[in-house]
Amino acid sequence: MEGDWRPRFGSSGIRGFVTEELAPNDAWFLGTSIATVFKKSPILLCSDNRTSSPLLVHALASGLVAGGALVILGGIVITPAVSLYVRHHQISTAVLVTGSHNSPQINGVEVLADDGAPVNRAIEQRIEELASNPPTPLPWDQQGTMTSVNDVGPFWVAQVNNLVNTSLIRRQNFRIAVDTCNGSAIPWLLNAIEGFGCQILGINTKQDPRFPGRSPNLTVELLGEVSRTVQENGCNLGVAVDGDGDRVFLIDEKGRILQGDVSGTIFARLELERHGGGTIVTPINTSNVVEDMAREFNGTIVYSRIGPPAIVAKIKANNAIFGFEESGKAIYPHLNYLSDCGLATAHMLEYLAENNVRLSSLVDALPKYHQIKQSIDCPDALKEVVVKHLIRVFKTDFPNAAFETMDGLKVVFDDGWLLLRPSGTEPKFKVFSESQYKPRAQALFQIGLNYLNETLRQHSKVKTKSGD
Amino acid sequence: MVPTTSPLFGSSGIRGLVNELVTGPLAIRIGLAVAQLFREEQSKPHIMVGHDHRTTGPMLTSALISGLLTGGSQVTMAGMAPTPAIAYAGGKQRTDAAIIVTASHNPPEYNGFKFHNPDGAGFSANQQAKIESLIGSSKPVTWEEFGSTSSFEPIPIHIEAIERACTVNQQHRVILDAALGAGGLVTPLVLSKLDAKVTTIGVPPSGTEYAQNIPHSKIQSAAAAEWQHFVNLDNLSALVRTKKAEVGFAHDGDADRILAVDDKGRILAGDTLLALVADYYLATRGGKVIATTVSSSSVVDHIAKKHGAGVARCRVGDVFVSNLVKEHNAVLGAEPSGPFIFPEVHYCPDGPLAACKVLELLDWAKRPLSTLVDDLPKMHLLRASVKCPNDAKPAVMKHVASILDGWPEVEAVSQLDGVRASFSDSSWVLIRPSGTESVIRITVEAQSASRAKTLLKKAKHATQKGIS
Repeated sequence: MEGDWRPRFGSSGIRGFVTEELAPNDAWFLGTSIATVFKKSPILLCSDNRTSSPLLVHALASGLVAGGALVILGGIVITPAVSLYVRHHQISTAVLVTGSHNSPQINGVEVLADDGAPVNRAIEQRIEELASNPPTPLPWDQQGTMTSVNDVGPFWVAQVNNLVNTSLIRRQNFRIAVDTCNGSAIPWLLNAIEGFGCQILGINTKQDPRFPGRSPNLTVELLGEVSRTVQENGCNLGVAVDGDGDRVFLIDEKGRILQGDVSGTIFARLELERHGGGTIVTPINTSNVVEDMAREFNGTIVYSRIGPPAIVAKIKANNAIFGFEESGKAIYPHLNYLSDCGLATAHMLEYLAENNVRLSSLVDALPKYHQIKQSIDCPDALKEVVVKHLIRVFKTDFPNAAFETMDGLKVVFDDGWLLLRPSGTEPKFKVFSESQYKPRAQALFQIGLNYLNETLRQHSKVKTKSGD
Repeated sequence: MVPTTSPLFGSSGIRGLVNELVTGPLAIRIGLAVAQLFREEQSKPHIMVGHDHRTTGPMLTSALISGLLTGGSQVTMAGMAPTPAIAYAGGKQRTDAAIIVTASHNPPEYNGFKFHNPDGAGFSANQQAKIESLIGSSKPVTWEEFGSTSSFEPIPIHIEAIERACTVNQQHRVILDAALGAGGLVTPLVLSKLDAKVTTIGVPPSGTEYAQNIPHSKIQSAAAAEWQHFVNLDNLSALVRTKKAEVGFAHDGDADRILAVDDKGRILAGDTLLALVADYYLATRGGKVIATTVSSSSVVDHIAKKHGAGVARCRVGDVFVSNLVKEHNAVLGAEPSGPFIFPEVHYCPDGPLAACKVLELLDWAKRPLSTLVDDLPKMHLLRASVKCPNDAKPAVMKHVASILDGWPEVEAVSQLDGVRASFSDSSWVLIRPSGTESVIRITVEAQSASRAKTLLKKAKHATQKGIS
């Protein structure tokens, strides 16, 4: 049983249902494996506020110490604070227990390198290999130790407040609605925004691991209350985060909840203006709205595969000034390689104060795009062959389109694009279309759906035949 | 050493070599089992957890906590403290049980778990058997029921309790050897509060120093040596003489035990201290019964007789002594190996409390400790062991019992723990299989050396005959 180590690193660390997929025993062996990889170095261990976080933290801490690590317990903190702390304090590794935006019965473990970025695939594989063939813990007189620090959250708050012209922001007396989702952004994000002298109208501001206020996920549909609060109280801005406070969505002063790629595009514009141009990294499923904005502000868009490790790799490779994902992730690489709602909010507030503009004007300056998304069932075993087949037929049937195949198949036309991509976490295939013209978006979506269904039909048949 | 089919529990909890018997994953399973045991009584168990100074304490404690939380228990973390302080705090904080990660007096490469009920008594054989059966089969709770942790500092309330329980009017000069163990966190403080002038060695606790020094015998510290053999107590003994102290004390690693040195620097046998404290308690508190084990000297019987009281005996192990104290409403429970139970405070063997009680005794006696020792009846105690395979032990013991029963002058035969025969001249023989080694241990005691020798020869002969 102890050798049967099940969890695997996905696109964002290890995730699973506790205890069915991720049990204390798994965490213990994960801990000894991480310590074995990083030798006898200091490792910061923090978590979000889920019910399963303490049991995973204790099992990890025990395993890490058994493997010889010097464990620094950092408590419950907002996720971006962990990477910021590691990067500024020359700590070699951080282990972060967080279920992020997932439902409350799920939790996960992320491993960060000394620059605060997720560790690379090679290290993940090394950790997995070790955990599957449990490493022998160190002898009783060579094991590690535990200490604790209580300034991980406060350090982040101070950094966020010191980043921008706080006195300028304070003079505005902004009124801001903040939805902290009963998660581990509490109290840190609220403290940071208070530091800007803002009046806060708080929603879901009491930590509760059952997430009674709303799902820890971040979607437009979940943010009705913060939108209403903005409208009813004449707020300048609404801010909403996911369960562990790395993802951020904005609500403009009219109460409009911005899609993640719209707010990401606005954050990117602010960075391009501050830097006088530069490179922005975003995954291939991001709206073309970012291209339109980038043309105006001297930006270059570099596309990546979906998921933070891929985005961060492209950021580093291209010396990018900013990266974002439509899920609400906003990465300011000069400060933090993890998405940071605090840095995003600070830059936003500073921009509004400096330029005396409203968020709605930034939103309205962007062209409107229409998007259609849908998931189709697809067995994991078929994904690879389906992608290959789709690439072949699309290249034959649409010779004038441009193709991007780093993550599924993206077909780019003059007036829109279509993305067919296997899910990294579920037995599903995603169809995604976008155009400035609604009928064209619908037409592209229908093309994608038809090709996918036909390909699936053919390959299921082949499979059934060979199965007979 | 211990066959795999044998129960995990020894006479005082679970103990073994770290990374062999005692591992992080075992600690997780123990936590789950204890949580399930108490979950059967109430939905939300609450367990206090602490550890002694050993290097592997934090590793095992964290794993244990993880298991408890996964089993739905609330956990109060007591940190590093002596066993009696953690057990006492567990009761006062109204927890269902206290678990102490300690290997007591064993060498530093060992560690283990002691389990105490809210009244301080160790877990009963029934509770131990239940845990044993639940280890490996206990189930985690669902995500909404996982436990959470809080912290509590056990030492202040333990010190207060000892202060309340003791009245010392004179200033005494005391040397304490806390053996780098957890007792160093309590005994020096509480002795000073009782106005004693304390000189310490082996303070403060240090798992690493303990670990580094023990194998090389660089430090002359009590529990640094094998507790039973008093090898390393020379330093304490010398310091008592040079500092002209009235008494010297030594603790084992988790300070549930105490050993005393008299003003002449003589290391007192456990039976001697037991007799002196029994004398003091019966003289000042009345009471009808002293509780002890089958292995203790008949000196205590002489003392009890003097006060018109009796001695109740049970199997070796503090759990059994605690139960015996309750059963007979005894004023005191003690074993020759150093645990003293003072039921007016709690039923946990308490080394720091025992040290303070000895100061009370000195106040009361108004004489040097050495003279009290010299006034005790002289008994001659001899020990031997005979090699015997573990599986042959039951048959051998059966045989031994029948032989002893037929001996002339036998007044009574008890089979509480091995076979103990007592004679009309107050001499006795105890033949008992070791719980940890492949030997049968023989103890004899008589008023004359020649009588003791004769009895030992006879007992050895009977045992050997049983084996062949």
